[in-house]
Amino acid sequence: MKKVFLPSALLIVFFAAFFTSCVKDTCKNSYTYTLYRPVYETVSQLKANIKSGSPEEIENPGKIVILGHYIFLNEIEKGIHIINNANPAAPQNVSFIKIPGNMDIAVKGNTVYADSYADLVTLDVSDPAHVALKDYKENVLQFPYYGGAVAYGPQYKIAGWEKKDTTIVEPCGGGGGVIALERGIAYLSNSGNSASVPAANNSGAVGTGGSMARFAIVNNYLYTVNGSNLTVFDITASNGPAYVNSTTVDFHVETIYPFQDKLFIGSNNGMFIYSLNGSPANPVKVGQFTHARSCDPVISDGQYAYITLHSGSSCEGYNNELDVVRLNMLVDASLVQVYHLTSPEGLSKDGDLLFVCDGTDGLKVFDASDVLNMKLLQRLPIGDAYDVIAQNHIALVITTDALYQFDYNDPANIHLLSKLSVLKN
Amino acid sequence: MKSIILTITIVLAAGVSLAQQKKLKFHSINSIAITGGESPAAVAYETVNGFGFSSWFAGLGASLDNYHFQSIPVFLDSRKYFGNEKQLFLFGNIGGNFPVQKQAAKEFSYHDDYYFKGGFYADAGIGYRFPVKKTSLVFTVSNSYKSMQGRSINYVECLVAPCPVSFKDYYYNFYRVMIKAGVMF
Repeated sequence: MKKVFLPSALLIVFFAAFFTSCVKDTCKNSYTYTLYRPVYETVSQLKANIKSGSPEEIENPGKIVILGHYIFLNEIEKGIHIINNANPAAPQNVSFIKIPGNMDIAVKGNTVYADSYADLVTLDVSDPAHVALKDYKENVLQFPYYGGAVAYGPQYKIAGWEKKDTTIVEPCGGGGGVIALERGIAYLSNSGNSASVPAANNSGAVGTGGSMARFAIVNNYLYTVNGSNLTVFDITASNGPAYVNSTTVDFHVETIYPFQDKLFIGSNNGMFIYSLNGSPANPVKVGQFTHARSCDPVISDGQYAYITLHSGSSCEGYNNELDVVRLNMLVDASLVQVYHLTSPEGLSKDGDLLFVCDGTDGLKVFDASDVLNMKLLQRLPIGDAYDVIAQNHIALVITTDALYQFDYNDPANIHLLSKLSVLKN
Repeated sequence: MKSIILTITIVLAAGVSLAQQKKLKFHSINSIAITGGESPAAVAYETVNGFGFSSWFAGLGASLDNYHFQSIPVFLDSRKYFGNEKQLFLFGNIGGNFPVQKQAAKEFSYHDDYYFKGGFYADAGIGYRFPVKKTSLVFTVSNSYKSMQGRSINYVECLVAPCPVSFKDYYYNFYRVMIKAGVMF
């Protein structure tokens, strides 16, 4: 026993000493990120490149405006698709206007007003195949933020973004200092044909925007909201808009919806009603309705305002609901009903039908004849619906992966007219 | 992982088969361990059950390992005894390491979500067995390794849903010393 124990004990002590020299805890982390590096152009280069070209794939659809038989569809931060919708069952993508940084659109007659980061671009679209730049106003809008930083200079503009996927491996706690973002990019099959493009010829009519719009035209004024401001432009002159003034509305203003002589403005904290009566160049705040902090597009039918609140965005908040607010003389606002939804965003109303984009639940159609007891007529499971325009018995719905059109002549039988499918990347 | 499970199954099946032929003797070794390294020392509890044959032992083990991240290693254990008394032995363990908590508590980090995944487990060292009546006291010292993975998920705020989501993967490797004391039946 002793013969074995002593050498064994020595062996164990030796191994213990050996093992203790091998102790180490390590941690590495790896992350794959998509780096978007801005590509700069001079202002003159950028202006020269703002023109229509052949139709392009719809990759990342944004805001929509309808005027006549044309759909103006924003390609987020890239430009505008012009879609000939003379036959809603077979819309034709006819051209693409390259506008770096574009997020919003307003249309009056044959003139398109669009943002390009902080600049306001005015275009003549009387011939959609040959769009002409009419005016370019620099730094009249608030510049968008990217990851908390504003990237622009006085002499150069961002013309596009270079995308690069990179995987970094580093010790834990190393702090790469890189914003890791993955943008969902989808590709839409392009069945457009630009061989025969009729002239827009919309005279002085104003395009109908969606509820997520930040541009609105009432008569001879263009109203834009971004950041915390409501900015007014006089668009009477044919050679381009004239800046009139800018008013602070609220922190983080998101949407603007014109109705009669009022502007309904949605912000993080509520809805604000501005009157244009008598002073369209100087809108006056006449009412407001505050709610829990959230994103909130708003529409109105004159008697009621319909506000959707959703969580999961920079607006913060936890509410996912449709608020119905009674309007007294379009001024006093009081909440009368709340409907809990999944993740509601854009909405539109035509007669007694209320259309609500409810995130991944798709499009929900309500009978809103009794706002206190709205009934869900139909849910159209079309993926992540973002915004809708319902007019002339056709609901145009934009989702993250398609542009849909539904015929709702018979509310009991809402059926699909057309779908421009998106190819997921 | 599939290969580990397959190997364990084959070993156990072979063990049971040989035990039925009375060539093997079943043993259960239950130990408590102190685990030390760069992280604070922690206690681990281990059980190994298997069969002895001649100067060899092979079995299946599992432990509750509290070092740095609480985890459950599941492993194959093999031992080679030396000398006539078969008291001194070398042993090795190899297997998988599985997290106790799949999702980290919020206070673990600022990440919106943090998930753990399993990794690899190995342990090799030297031991000594003191026979006491029909049982034995077993002491070992070894160098042990366990690895784990973590994934943090940040939901990036944005104006237009769906908002981007960023991921970061973490690979943890722990090389430490284990000193075990246990009873072998």
